[in-house]
Amino acid sequence: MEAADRLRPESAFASWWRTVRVAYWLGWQVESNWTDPLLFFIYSIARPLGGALILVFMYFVVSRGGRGDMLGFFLVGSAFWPFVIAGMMGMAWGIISDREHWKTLKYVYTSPISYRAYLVGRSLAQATSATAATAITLLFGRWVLQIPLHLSSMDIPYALVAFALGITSIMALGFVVVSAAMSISGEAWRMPEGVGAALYLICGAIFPVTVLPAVLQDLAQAIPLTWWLEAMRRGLLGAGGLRSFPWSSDLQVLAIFAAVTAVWVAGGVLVFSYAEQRARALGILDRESGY
Amino acid sequence: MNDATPARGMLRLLRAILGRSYPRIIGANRDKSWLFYDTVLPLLGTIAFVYVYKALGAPERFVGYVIMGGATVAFWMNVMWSMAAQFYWDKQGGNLELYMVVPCGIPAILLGMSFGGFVGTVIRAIAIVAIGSLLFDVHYTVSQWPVFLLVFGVAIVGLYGLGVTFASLFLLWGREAWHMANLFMEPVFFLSGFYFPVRALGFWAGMGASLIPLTLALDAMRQLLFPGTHPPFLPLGTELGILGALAISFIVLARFLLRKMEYLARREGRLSLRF
Amino acid sequence: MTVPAIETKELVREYRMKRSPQNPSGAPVVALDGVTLDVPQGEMFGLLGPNGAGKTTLIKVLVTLLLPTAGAARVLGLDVVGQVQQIRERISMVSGGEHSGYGILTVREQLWMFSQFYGLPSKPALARIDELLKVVGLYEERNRRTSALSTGMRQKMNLVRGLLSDPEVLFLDEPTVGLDVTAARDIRAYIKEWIRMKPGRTILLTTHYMHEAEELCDRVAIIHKGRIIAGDAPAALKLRATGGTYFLLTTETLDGISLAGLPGVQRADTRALDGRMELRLHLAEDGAIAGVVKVLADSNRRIFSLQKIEPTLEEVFVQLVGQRLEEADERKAGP
Repeated sequence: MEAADRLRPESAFASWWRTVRVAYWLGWQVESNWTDPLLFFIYSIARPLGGALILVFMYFVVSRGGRGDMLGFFLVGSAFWPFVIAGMMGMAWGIISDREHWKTLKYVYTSPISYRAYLVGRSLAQATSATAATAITLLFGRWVLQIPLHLSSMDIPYALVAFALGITSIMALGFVVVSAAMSISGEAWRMPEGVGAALYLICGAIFPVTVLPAVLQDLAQAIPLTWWLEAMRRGLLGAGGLRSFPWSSDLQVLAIFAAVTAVWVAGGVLVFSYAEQRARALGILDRESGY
Repeated sequence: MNDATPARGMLRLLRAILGRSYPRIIGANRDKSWLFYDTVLPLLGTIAFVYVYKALGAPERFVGYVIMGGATVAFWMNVMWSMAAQFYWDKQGGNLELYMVVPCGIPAILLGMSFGGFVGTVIRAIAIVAIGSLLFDVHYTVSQWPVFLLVFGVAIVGLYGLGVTFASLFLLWGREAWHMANLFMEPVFFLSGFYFPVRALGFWAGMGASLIPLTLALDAMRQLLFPGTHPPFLPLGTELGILGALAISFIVLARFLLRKMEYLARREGRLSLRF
Repeated sequence: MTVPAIETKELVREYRMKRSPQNPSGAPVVALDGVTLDVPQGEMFGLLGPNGAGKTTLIKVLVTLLLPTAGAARVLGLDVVGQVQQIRERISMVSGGEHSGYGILTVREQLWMFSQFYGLPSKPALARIDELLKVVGLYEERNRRTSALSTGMRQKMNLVRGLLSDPEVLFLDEPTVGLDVTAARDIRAYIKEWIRMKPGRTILLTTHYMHEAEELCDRVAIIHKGRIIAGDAPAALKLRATGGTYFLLTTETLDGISLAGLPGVQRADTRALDGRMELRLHLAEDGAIAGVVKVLADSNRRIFSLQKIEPTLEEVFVQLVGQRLEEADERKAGP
């Protein structure tokens, strides 16, 4: 009977979903040490609040204690940025730690699963660990900095759609990063950090992209995270806040965001497929760097 | 082979310092990834903060603050990841036991690590300041070079003294150094005023943050770089005096903790559980 | 009269432990339980015992990495508690399974760095490094990064590091553990060569390979549960394995046939070997082997080989501890 159960054909989606769930579970087991009180304090309170407070004091120093839209702009950007880093890291480390530390890459890769689904699951698990930092930063903004994060003025359905699209776009970026990590050894584990720093500068995480040079503004519009943060600000802060794209309506922002995300998802999958093929051809898929 | 008589005393100390600094200096030359990770990355973060000030319409000197903050990040990262956490990595890798039985002693090893790390970090910091200043056309007028260099030198001694203190503490603490070093990232960037004048924190918070030598060092150097426009936290002479006291205190504390660590390691066998 | 190279008296070392399900009272683990040793200068002394017997702890106390909980220990007449620096000037240590070093450095650079910790002038230090690298067969790899070395090469490099300062006492802690047969044989050969070239030098070697101790050591002490239970020259130790004879027999799998209860069979250790079964038999007298052969024949088991063997240190260990060294290791590693 059990054998029959095992042999029962599974739809492609069911198999994909099962893999995501198992990989999510695995990622959670690997990453769940953040629930340790000290680690929770470090990663969910001290670091994100430290980062947000730097911006707040930069603002206070210039505005001499005044308040304005910029504070809300900083805060929402700082609050949601950990998802970007954690999501990309989860995916890249899904490969790198399996290859270098756990030595399981070849076994996972050769099992009859969608490896992409596996990486999505690992990435989602890591992204989940960013939730506490986001919530704490938002609460700090609402109650300490008096930023107008009021449920009554929020467009919650809009924010939820934007959030789901945002996570999807982070996965797409993660596939691009992981494709590069697959091709190099050694310092690959720091790659998400490097890509994250570049995106932090370009995507208007902490300032409106309108202050960037024109060429970087164009680049910013091609990256989904710029639209994501813009949409999250519009959804959470309500009307009248500072905008990266003041010329767009809320719906336009969401529509462009969805379109850019779709392009990146397709691109991410293509780039990953190419990197996978190349790694297999060169025999470097499970090559350890010895670092 | 018989002419290889080992030196003792100061000569051995110097040889050991050079020996231990060698991997740090040569490593930077061999593995070029630092160019990206330790120079370009901090620079990207620095530029992002510059744009924050630009978005806020801040005066030009604030751009200078941020670039100096970026260079300071390089030193702080070096001290936390390559000094404070180093004993932990060395323990994991099996080097620490060997270091503890070599006749030159642990202080020589630490001085070598500091020297090697400092040389590499100065290059990174100069690169960050040079590129950042070029990109944003920032000009500095150092009003008193000897005082500026004195502040920098005293701060570096205090900073690396703090690094050695943390190295022993991290090991005694027994928590993963990776996490402890992470704890001292953004919170320290904030408290030490890496990107804004520390006076904004208020007197008592600023005094508390001054336990980290970089806090007063940054403020003192900003006073010298932007005379008349930078709002000082404390008078320059006072800041230099406190920095000197911090440097001496951290060296004494580091030495005490090193001895304590060596003693505890020997008494409790904390360096290894293999028996 | 020269002082002993190593001298310990009633040496005790305990490790404080946290409370755990395995150790609910949090009682300390006694790693050394009154060890008394005397190793004269110029001797190659072996410390033989299973994992967890206290071998590494003893070395750590002697090289000044650990303080004793009680008792005394001296190296070259110097107290390991109070004369730490003087001891470190004159000793060196090499541990097996070591991954120490900086992957970014080449073999030669890594060794040069350590030579500086001993205060050696660079030029003669490099000459010595090259010479020793040639001796261990690693000269061709001298400019290779240490991260690219195999386990065996890495251990040869570690051995060179240990010899660089020309120590008066060299502590070798399981120097061949984890190495393949060839690399282990090479390491043993270099150790023998070094002691031959430096007759006044002392080596304390810990191992849980019986043949290694037999091959290398002038004297061997067997350590078990933190206590020295026997110590003598290997030949003299083997003489203690008296009271019977030893046979090595290869047959088919036994599948439930018990030989232990047969008349004259004092002990029968079995080991699976390529689908066959190897039996090490300790018999009261030669004639008892007939009973063993009969039982096997009656059970339709073919006998592939049978030979009478000389007792080894393994037999001594079994007699003293009541189990084979492998079993002691497994028990230690087990839950």
